[in-house]
Amino acid sequence: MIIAERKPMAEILEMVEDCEKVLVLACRGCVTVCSAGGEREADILSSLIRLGMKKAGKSIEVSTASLVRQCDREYVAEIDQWDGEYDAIVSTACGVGVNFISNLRKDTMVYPALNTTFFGGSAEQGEWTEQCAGCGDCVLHLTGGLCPVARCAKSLMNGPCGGSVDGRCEIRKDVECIWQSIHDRLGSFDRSAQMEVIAPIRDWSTAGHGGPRKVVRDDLTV
Amino acid sequence: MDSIQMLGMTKGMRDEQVFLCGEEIKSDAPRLFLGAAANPFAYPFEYRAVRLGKKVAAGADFIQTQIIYNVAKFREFMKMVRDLGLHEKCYILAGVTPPKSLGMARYMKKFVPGMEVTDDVIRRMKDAKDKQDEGIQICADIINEVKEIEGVAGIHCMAIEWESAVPEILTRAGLLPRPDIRDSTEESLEKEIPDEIVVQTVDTDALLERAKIEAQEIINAAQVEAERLRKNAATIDSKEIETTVGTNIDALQSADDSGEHEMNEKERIMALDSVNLGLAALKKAYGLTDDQFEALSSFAGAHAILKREPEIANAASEPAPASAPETQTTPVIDDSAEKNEAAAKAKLKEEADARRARDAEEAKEAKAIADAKAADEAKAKAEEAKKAEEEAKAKVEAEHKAAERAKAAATAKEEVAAKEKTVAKPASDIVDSQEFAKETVLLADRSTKVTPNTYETKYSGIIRAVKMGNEGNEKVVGGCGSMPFQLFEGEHPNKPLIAMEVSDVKPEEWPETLSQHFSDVYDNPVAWAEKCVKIYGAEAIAVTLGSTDPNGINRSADDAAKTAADVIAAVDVPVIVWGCGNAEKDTETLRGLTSVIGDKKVCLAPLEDANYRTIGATAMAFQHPVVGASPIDVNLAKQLNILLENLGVSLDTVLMDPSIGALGYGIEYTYSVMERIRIAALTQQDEKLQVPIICNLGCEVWKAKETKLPSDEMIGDQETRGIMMEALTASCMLIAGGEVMIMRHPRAISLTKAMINGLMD
Repeated sequence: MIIAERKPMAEILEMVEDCEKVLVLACRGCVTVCSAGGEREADILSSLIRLGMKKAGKSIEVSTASLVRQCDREYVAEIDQWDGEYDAIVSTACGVGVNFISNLRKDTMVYPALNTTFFGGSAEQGEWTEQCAGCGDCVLHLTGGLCPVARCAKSLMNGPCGGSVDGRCEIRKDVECIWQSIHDRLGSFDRSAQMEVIAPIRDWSTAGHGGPRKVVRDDLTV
Repeated sequence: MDSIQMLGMTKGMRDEQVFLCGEEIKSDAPRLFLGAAANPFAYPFEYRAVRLGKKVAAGADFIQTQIIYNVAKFREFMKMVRDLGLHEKCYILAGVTPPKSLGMARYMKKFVPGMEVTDDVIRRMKDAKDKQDEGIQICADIINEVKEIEGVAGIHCMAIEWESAVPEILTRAGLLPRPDIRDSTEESLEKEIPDEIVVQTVDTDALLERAKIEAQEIINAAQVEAERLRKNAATIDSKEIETTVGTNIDALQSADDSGEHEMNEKERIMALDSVNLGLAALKKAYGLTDDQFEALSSFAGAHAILKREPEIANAASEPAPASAPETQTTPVIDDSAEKNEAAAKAKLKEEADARRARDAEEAKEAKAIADAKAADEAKAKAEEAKKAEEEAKAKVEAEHKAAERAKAAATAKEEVAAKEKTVAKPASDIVDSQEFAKETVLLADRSTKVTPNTYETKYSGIIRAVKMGNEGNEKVVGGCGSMPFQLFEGEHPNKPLIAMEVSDVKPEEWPETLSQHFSDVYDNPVAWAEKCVKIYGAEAIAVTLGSTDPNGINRSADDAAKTAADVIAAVDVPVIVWGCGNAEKDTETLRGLTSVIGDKKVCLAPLEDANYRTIGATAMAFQHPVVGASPIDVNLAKQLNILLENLGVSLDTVLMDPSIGALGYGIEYTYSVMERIRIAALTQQDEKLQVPIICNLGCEVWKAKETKLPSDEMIGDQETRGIMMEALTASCMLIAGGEVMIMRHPRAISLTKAMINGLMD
């Protein structure tokens, strides 16, 4: 899922400093699961905005609402019901949600309450780690299901560099050397030979290096 | 793009003259000698040579390694490199760096990922008076070591921010003067040595022989060539081309094999120079006639003309000078030759590919065989283990049955005394040495999936080694550098010692299950001690002087001292004399003892805070080891050691008795206190606790009522029960850090020894 974390309050307060009414709009998708932008977080954010503005000597009216997802046309349409009740929307969705609202509602100002960080999962309670880089050309079948693009600091494709020590990455001790793990995992499946194959130079255009990406499914288009 | 992919791209640009996108390179394609880095010290170690192989396959012509300090590991790496045949496909330059200061060495060790600075290097830098001189020497020593390793083609000297040290390093490594191809006409016959590469010495005789044959060929070719040139400089017979190209192919092959490719302009000129020099040398060496020489010169001249036409000369790949005498056969080249050559090159490539494929297949096969073998071995081992297990099971069953039989007999008689005796038999019959099933595979080999750093603890302290016994029959205890039996973490030069207890007078309170083994010597401590040594193979004797206790028999100090002295005189093994625990009386007894044993050594025990001064002083005077005994507490134990040291007693002669409890009588507390002491000693540099631990456990175990209750159905055979209690107590004490065990029952000792041997051999 998409992992995100709330922006610093000062930044959010600066966005809304000229507003008299704002709608904090939660998303019940990924950001709810990673406890960054669900209904609960939206309520907390609303209170914080009120308090922050009060502290700055201003008053603001903050209401809260939530959508099933902010990345679908149908759900975004729901925001029309609150028309006129706010000067701006503060979206606690990921960047996709903010973009979708901006795409679809010409007259609505929308601000991001979150920094969208990466595609990942919750490794432990309260801890999320990056697992996928969305590079558009998956090699996981060659690397024991562990992604060197997302999880190797250098995105190496041909095995661990000379900085791999003790299963740790040279950039920081708390970073796992994913190539060590790939090596061990392939070894445990008796597929070490895969590590001897030279991975050819990749075409990174699918990773966004070729401009904004788009998927078109002829079978689904109308 | 990563390094391997980049090598592939550059190689493609050089060899195929195409850009990565597939577009042809129309102007001069890059002429590159491709290099790559390799780190033999990064993880996973076993993958490092494979990765180097990938770089070579992708196009690396030479390799620069990470800075080498751990030569042993580098040697291992090079073995893997050779096993893959990579040293024949590229030049490997061993990376070396002189440590400029101790700080630099430490920094590299601690903070540079993928670098292994050995403790030896750190120590050498630490001990050196002139750090920079030592740094240069370390570097030169490493060069001298690595250049002997097969497959090392040269060194890469990285004197970081210290380039001025390079000449001195090279001088000490015997690498100066550098070979200079320009001023030695004689040496031009030898393999030409590019500046960066140190080539190992070649067999000069064979080389000269070859050169001679080739010289003849050159002369013949040159004569023909000269004639032809005179007639028509431009015309070259196609047949002639084939022969020249033939030689060229040979040259090319060897060049390709050694990973050489097109030379750059500068090197080409150098090659030409060397051809000219070679001709002069040939004239001198083989006494050529002027005619012959002129022919040769013309040949060279023709070559020089070609040189002025870089288009043609560039297009054709010239053999590398490094590829030896063949260089001098550098033939006349034209377009058709180039085509032939290209064809030959393609063929060669095919051949090389086929060879590579074959090699790979062979390697695979070899691996399969090895795997199968390993599997078989493992199977055999498993079967063995199973067998051993079954045997052990059978044994236990037999014992069990015997015990049951005995019990049945006893019940029939319905006489408790008789019962005790018969029941005692089955266990006491077996006092011969025991052996545990051993796992002989090293931990590191059993846990290859786990890196040692995740389970190995590094210890900063070491336990002192204390000498026990008389000169010639000394036993050393302690000296270990890691927690007990953690052989994979540190040195354990000495096995724990088990001392057999001998009582100075007939002990009244020993249960018969124990005393029966000594019934023949019960009244005679000397004979008792001798029996322990001769029959039970005791490694040490502990004479306990319980009789001197003023609250008990109150035997006189002199009498007791005499008995102890007799025992000391009778046996060769180390003797510990353990007083009754009354500080005043022990002082009297032990001081008396030291005055009657002459120059024999004895370990005096116990020294407590009440009497450590007097006995300590005596021990110091006669250089006897002592046991400092304190109530079970880390700080009290430490305090007594500090007091002893303040008195002047060297901690190298001190054993620690932390006071112990038997199984069921506070063993957990004992265990944690002992372990705590040991951890403080080994990991927290608590020097005052770095002394061996002695456990007087026999008396603790055999006073427990469980050893005295008769056999019954619920708690089993009495003797076995006692034996197991003593052996288990000892095992726990050993695992907690005990180095000397004072024990009583021969069978319990035998079991404990089996454990020690099983864990340490």
